[in-house]
Amino acid sequence: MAESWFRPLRFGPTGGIITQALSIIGLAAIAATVHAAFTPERKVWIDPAEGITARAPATNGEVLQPAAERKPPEPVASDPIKSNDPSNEALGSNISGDQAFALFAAGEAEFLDARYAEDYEAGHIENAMSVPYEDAAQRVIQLVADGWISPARRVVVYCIGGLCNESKFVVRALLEAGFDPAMVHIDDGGYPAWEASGHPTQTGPDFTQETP
Amino acid sequence: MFMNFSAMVLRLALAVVFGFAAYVKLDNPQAFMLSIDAFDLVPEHVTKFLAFFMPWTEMVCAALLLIGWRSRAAALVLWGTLIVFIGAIISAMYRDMVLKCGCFGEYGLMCEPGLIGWCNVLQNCLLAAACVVVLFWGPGYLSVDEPGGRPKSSKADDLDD
Repeated sequence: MAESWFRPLRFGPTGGIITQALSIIGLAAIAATVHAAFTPERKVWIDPAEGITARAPATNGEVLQPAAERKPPEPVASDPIKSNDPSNEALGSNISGDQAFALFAAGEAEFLDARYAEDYEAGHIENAMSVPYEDAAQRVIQLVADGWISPARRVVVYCIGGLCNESKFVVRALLEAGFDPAMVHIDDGGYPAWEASGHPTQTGPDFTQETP
Repeated sequence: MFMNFSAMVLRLALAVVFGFAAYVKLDNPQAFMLSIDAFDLVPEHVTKFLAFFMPWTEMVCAALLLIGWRSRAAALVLWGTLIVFIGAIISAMYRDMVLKCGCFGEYGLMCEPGLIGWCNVLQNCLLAAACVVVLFWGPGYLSVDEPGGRPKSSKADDLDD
């Protein structure tokens, strides 16, 4: 009689396949628990933001100066920007590409590019600053110290669009640096949507890292 | 002989693929944590545990597949993991979510390391099929379980006891 191709899956007190599989899962759980215990706790989750506001587009193309030298935005009492993704209520601060452009055109926000530096140099939102997500915490601290961004001004973070993970890293770094969640936004459209809409872009290295 | 050789190749390929995937995730667990969170399927405290648990599961299985010890059990675990991945990806696509896979960090295996799509589903189906071969045939040649490949005797069913 021909040998069966399949071997049975069996329970067994000492060596059944399913018992072995459960042992593997248990071993992985122990390793994961130990690893997690020795990994520094960092807050990943972004608090809900409310009352995000924006004005209509006004001017554009100003020469960028450190935020400390600019006038802080005046309080605006228009309709709040609400998250355009109902499934992402926990974030609360993600805004559409149009809303991001409104903030850009009004000069009300700094734009941070959370993608890799190579992607940034290949093309980014005009006057955006490069904050590769891997070095987000360090870069944010540096940008604040140099006066390029300030908790008094809005910040819009973008990457490749959607709920891309890179933006969340940068947002987290901003919140840890003391930014108000209501002043920090994720551009839901990301760079692809911005570029496709024909909004201002530029290429090249980050101007904040050039020789002063 | 052909099946033993094929099973060995698939087993080693799975070991390399999942070992690399696990390394990438364990190297930056917070990135993987955000990837899981973006799927919006599990609560926060579960997400953090999964960010460590899933890569470690892959790593343990990859190590077992590499040496060929408890290979079938490791293949079973990985098959289950892949089914969960496939379900999560299809769920996200059904909900029109724009997400990054996080499968291999910034690297791509068969698909570009960008947004999730049917390519990721196909990729995981192929990996799951490879797991099925190892699960039901055995580890093939050069394994601790069966150094000479699967014996012809029906007693081979006792391999795992």
